[in-house]
Order: sequence, then C-alpha cells, then structure tokens
Amino acid sequence: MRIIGKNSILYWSKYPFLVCTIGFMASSAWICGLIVLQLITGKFHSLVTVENINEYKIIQFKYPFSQMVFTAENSTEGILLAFWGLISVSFVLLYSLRIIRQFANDHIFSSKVVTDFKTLSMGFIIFASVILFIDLTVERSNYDFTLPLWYMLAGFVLLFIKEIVDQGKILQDQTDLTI
Amino acid sequence: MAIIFNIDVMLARRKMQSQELAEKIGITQANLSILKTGKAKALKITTLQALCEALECQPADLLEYRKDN
Repeated sequence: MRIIGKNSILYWSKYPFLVCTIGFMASSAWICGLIVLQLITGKFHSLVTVENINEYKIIQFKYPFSQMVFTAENSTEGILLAFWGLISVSFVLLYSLRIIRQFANDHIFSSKVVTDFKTLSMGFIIFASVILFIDLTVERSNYDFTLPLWYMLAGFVLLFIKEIVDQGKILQDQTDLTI
Repeated sequence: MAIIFNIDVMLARRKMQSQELAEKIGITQANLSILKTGKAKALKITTLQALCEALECQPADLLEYRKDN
C-alpha cells in the first residue's frame, strides 16, 4: 500500500485525523472561552475549580458532556501558557490536516502545499517566541526554555521542508512545460 | 522571447489545422498551444521530429532566434 496519494495510508488516515482535529478544536474553543471568562471575572464556579495538589495550586476547566478536566497552574503565567498552548496545537492540527489532504490527493509539489508549510513553520516560530515572551515577562523567577526550543526547531525544520517542496514545484512546472 | 516557434506559419503553408497537427504528432491541443505561444520550457527531440515529419519541414523552418531588446 502506498504512503502518499490516492487510496494510500495517508488518504485513509485523513478521516480519523479530521475527526480528531474537529474534536480538539471544538473542545479547545470551549476551554479557551472558560479561560477568558475566568481571566475577566476572576470567579470560580462548577466549570472552573481550584485544587491543591501537594504544594501546587491547580486550576481545572471542565470539558462539556464529560467528567474530563483541563488543568493548568493557577497563576497568570500558567493560565496564559495553557491558553496559548491550546491555540497553537489547534493551529498545528489544522494546517497538518490541510497538508495531509493535499498529499492524499497526490498534490505534493503545489503552491498550496508550499504556502501551508510556510504558514505552519512561521506559526511554530511565532508560538515559540510568544511562549518565551510570556515565560520571561510574566513571572521572571520561573522559566523553562525546553518547549519554545522544540517549537523553534520544528519551525526551522518545516521551513527547510518548505524550501525542498518549493524546489520540487519548480522542477514539476518545468516538467509539465516540456513538450 | 528569444526562441520563436513558427508553427502557425508552417501550418498555413501546409494548409493544415492545429487539431490535425496535434493528432498527427500525438500531443494535446493545449500543449500545442503552449508550444505556439512560446510558453514551453523545453522541447523533446521526439516532438520536434514528429513536428518535422507532420509538416514536412526542417527544424530550422520551425525555430527562429530573436534577440531580446
């Protein structure tokens, strides 16, 4: 079985991936709504609770129609990073889905794929910069460079792949115009 | 445009239509149009050979070089 193209592994995996992406984005929108509401009002209720686990204060946001909770450190930095994390993962899933759909339809060296790779790589670099900014400015005593560094690395790797796809597209155009 | 394809001139001389030529040399009309308008990036030797056979001419009759201003 082929990996890329029609009736390939990627072609059939795009459907479960689509369902997961929609599910994650819908639940993220719900949690982001609760986070914004909590940041504005500062109030706790049945959907937003605070728990003490050991010496850590944890804030919990309840997902709809289930007992699952989204947890974050109960501090401005913790909540902001959780909010930004949800947005960044949703963005990455969305653009990955777009690229998978293009690859599944045999459109490998196309301008759409180049644009999606560029947007995804820039997204990773921007997400890393914002995480670093939040980490260093909100609470200066507590910071961790691991996540932004991985994001930055992923961004540069994707930028490199984008350049390869771009070169492939140029070659494809030349081949198509060879008569 | 540096290289000009004189396919239209040869077609007129041979009183042949584009569609007929495309069928004879085995390419689509869209590709023949790309050749005629000079948008092609490269030309296969086999295509040139087929063009010469179909139009009963030499490669020099089909291709012309013009200096860009």
